[in-house]
Amino acid sequence: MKLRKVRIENFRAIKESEIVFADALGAIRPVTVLAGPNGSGKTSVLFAIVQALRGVMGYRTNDVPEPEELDIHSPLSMGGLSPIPPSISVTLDIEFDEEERVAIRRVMAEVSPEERLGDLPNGKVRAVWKYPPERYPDGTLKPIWYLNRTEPRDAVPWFHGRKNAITGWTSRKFRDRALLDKIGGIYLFPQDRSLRSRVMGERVSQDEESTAPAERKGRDTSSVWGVLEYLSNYSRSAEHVKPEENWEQRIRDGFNQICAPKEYLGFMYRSDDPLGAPYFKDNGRTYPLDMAASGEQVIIEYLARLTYPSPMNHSIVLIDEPEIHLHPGWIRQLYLALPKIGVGNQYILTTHSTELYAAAARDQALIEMGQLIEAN
Amino acid sequence: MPYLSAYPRAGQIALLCEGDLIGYEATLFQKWTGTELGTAPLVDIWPCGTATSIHGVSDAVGRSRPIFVIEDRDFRSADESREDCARNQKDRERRSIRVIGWSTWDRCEIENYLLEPDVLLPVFCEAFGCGDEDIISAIDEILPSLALFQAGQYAMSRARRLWLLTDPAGALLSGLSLRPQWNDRERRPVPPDESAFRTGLDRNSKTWKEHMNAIECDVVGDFDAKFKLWKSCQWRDNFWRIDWAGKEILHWLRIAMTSRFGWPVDAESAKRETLSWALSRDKREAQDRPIEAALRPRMINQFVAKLSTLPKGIRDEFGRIKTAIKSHQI
Repeated sequence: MKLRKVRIENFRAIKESEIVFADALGAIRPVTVLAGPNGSGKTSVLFAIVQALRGVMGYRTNDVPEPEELDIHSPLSMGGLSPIPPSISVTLDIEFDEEERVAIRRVMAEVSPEERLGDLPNGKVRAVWKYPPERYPDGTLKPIWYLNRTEPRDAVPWFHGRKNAITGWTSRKFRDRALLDKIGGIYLFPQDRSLRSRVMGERVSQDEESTAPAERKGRDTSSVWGVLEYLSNYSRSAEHVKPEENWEQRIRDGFNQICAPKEYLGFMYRSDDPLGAPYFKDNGRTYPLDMAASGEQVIIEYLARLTYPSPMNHSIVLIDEPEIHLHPGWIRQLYLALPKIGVGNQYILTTHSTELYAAAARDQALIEMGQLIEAN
Repeated sequence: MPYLSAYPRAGQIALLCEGDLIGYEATLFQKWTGTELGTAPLVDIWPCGTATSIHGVSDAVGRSRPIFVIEDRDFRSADESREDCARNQKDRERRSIRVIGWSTWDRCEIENYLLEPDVLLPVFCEAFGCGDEDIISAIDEILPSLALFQAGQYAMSRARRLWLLTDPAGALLSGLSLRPQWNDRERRPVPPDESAFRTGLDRNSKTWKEHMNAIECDVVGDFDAKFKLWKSCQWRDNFWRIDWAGKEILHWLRIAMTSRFGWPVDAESAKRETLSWALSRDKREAQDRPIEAALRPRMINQFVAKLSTLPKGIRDEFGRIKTAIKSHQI
């Protein structure tokens, strides 16, 4: 799934904006960088995409709050309310490629045969989401995630492919794992600063006998730590893990490409650390994830989240200000590495970083959303 | 003790090159150093515009960070560019600038590396929806028509080189002392000997005038010699990829391809229209600019992806740059 164009009206900082994610030859760019001053609407673009799609895609996130009246971009009226209150409108031009459409058809037939997939001959769908939501004929409000309109009309089930693929795979309704890897989804990396809670997560069990620090005991896969532990165990437990399914190795390779000479060693159990931890190595020193620098935690978070619950391929990945916590050298390396993480992903980044700005400009992948100094 | 300064960017080594901020050099080096060197060491790219500007920028950053310089070779011979680079490096080092290396491309300019078949053909085939043979036939038409331009540029560069050797700036002040000396005992500056300076300047001036009169430059002969060699150049030859100005070849190839196969008039529909190029030079270049901008990153990406299989000369050249940068002790 790829996003060719988004048109946003009356959402947060944006009165009206249209962004095309294709280059001059019409090809959708693997990476697009939105740059501009504070308040120019960069984050609003990412949030608008999530608001429009999360309902139909079953993407659960607390990082984008549910829409409310204050999200409507309302011009200040002089001496009274504006006669027609504006509404938010987000229009997405989305494309599913041939291979992805075939995979979605197969998954839906096996997992959700009651849903009818309409024809999508060229793979193109225009989806429109509005807020406040419309009303049903009986006067009740439609859910806030309701997609108001699609062209073609019956295109909504196409967006259910990935959700169904994940549940179908985990419930063993189908066994062809390649299907899952061909269907795209959506994921947002927010810019909030609660890095530690995202990386370390919450304890799910306590072993009072253990002398390990409390925060190192038993973590679920909502945390990066838990994901790394799960993927490591998966690699070890399966008898014949195919190279392409050795996710821990892929995370190691990705980290080492971006952060060399630092290395991610993997989730390791040691005599002095029987509960185990994700371990890193730098200049002869090894240290666990909770002792890693915040930049290292950020990179490992990107890699882990794009791998679990299923490696993201053909997906729309939104990253809000990836430069946070990162040294400029790593920002450059991350920009180069992103297109190689997963297959056929479309990355949309926002930034204030001059490093990202320059790199994207050189790739003709920069969209400027406003100048700090406006011409009079 | 290292020179302390507010170096404005992240990087342990500054790589100075020609071209603009989004030019071929900056884009290629950003990708290539990121892929080949990672952050060890972290190389910071400084596109300086022209070779002349590199000197100024090297003064500005070279005391804060060690620098590595790559200029265009242009129409210089390998020996000439080596001599020039050695002189430039020595000159900068005299000013306490840390120079890791000062070199030129082995080829005329960076665009020449993108003329390799494994780079050029796949990118243009995809961009124009055509086959290899369409591009090769376009090149076969373009090359003979560009031979005169290339030979003319060559002859001009020879003349300019001779003129530079008699540039008065260096010769007039050679061996003369203009600056005061510091007297530690008296704690005051002692001005240079005015009489000695005037005598020396008079002597240098006379010598310089004799030099200027002695310039012998056979521009026509240089042109004739190259034009005879180059006028029937074809795709199957290789010298044009090395010695000609590659920028001009790519410009005319884009013209030929867009006039035959069209160019998307808007990114949304990707609908193509053939372009007309019977324009003034300014308008022609303006029309070409977005086309070049769209193709540039594709060509650079293809070059970096294919570098390990390109001809040995190119691999060796980039290997030398990598070794020089990596071997430098931060």
